[in-house]
Amino acid sequence: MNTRFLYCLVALLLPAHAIAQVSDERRAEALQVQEIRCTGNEQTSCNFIRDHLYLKDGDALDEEEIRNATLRLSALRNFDAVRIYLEKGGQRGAVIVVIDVTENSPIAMEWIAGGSFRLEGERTLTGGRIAHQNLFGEGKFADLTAVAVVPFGGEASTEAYEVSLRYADPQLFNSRRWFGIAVAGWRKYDSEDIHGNFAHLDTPQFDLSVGRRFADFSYVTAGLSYRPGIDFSSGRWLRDGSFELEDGEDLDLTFKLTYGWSSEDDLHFPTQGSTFQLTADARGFPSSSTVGFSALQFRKTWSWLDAFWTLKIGGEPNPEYRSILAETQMFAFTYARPLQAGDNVRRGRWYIEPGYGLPGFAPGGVHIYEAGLKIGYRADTRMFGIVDLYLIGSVDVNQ
Amino acid sequence: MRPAFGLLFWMLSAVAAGASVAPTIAGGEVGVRIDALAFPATLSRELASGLTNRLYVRVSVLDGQAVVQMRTVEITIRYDLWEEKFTVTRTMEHASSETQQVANITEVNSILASLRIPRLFSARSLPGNRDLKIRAELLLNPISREKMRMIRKWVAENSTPDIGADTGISSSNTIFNRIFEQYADGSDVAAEWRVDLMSPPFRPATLGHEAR
Repeated sequence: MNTRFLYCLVALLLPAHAIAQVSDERRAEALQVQEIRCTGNEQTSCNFIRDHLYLKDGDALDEEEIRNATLRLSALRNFDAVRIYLEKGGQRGAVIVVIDVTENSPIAMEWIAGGSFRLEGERTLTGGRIAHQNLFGEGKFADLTAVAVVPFGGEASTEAYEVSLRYADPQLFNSRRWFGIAVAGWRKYDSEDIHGNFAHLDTPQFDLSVGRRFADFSYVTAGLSYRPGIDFSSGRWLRDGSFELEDGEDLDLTFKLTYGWSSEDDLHFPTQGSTFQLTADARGFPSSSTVGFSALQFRKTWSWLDAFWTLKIGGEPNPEYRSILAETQMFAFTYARPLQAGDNVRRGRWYIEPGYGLPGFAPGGVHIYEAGLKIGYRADTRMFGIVDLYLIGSVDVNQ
Repeated sequence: MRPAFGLLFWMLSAVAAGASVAPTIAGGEVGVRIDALAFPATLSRELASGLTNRLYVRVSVLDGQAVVQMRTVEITIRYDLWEEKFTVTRTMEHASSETQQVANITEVNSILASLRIPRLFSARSLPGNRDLKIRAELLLNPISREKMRMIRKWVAENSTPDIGADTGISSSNTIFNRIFEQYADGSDVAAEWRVDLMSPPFRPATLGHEAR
């Protein structure tokens, strides 16, 4: 139990809850916790549930702490509903605290399907993720993700396939601060644009990351990516008009260091807050490391005029250990309107997203300026989980 | 916008259920009477939970869009597991309070069904020659913005960032969905159950006196 947090919380809440509190506290002082029980939990251990209530047998009953614990438990993905109530204990003044939970399905799903018409290339993107969010009844995660990008027309071509299996421990070493992620996957990627820029990747990949949270919403992670037998080659025009060829010589082992924060209230349906992430990687680790910044992502959402407005840089939040199910633009501004929930849809939005990008150079060192527009529908459905359907098109402004 | 939809939904719910607020006057002081509130179906169960339940009522007198005066009242209800009785306490502006013992849940429901909150405003302090309205905002077991901030911090510390479909907040949890909708709308307090009511126009001088 983090007592400092508890004291902080109580201190902060006192002014707002001073109303009629004195008499309640007097009464609460008179009650003592005899026992803490759980009901309704079939897949979640009672210890896991009890750990969220900072009271133990013999403590004086603290109603404020019980309300806080209700909120803490309600915030977890494990539960659809949480109720805490008291029962008479063995003697007057002794109470049994009963934590009654309605568990969510531990299986979560996410699906994406889109049509893409970008820079003379036509392709579809389909993907899915199935996750178990409460392994061992202790809130651990495992998920399987598969994504396919299949070309169907156009002069440019992108074809990609990715499969990954991921395990994550949100509370590594039983610590609230530490978390860990292990990923095993395979990636295949081939692309060529109308200017001759191309890339080819075919590799298995194993990632191991350990992270630590700090301050309010920040975290750092350090991790290794191992790609045995990587097959990589790329060629691209540079600003000075030359054409650069690369191979995967220094990509078999990469060290990554990431700093990020997330104060958003939801990843798929944010109504407020921001997410930021910056990753630096060292290729050829540890012998001949070449250090560079590999990803910068920022997303901030405002709620205004019956809609949600989101500014994105670097696409959707995309930590290095997660293959996000989205097709993104480098800079984008999203206007999203909420849709009425129904029997099968918990919540939904349609959105329109103009964007802009600088995907590279054409012969002669000429910038490619990509202007795009994405329209889509995203919903949290009861049957299929998160569903994202979209169309995206873009043109090279120079052409 | 979800917050506006949410608020509209609550207001419409209240209207649909016939909930109303009306000014009352006694001894030169204006109060309110709130009828036919559609409380959550689980309220009776919660009232008997042995824990204290709070109904936060913020009453404003409006002159057009301007708030002339505002009072907050909190009604706490708690059940004694051994005495098997309820204690209902009404506190105004964090200070004066009245307590009554209630024998059973039926009586508690009866009190809540026709909520009378007297002595909120001095009639003389209100503009007598203007059409005024009463706005009543009712929240059951409200949560302060600061509390939600702390809970979110706690959640952030206890979830893997950017995992799957959540940043810690359960996507299917109605409590948080509703509460965050209200925060996104700029409310200083929020609750899973919230109702906003508006009275018909009135002038203090024309209010009928009622017995206390």
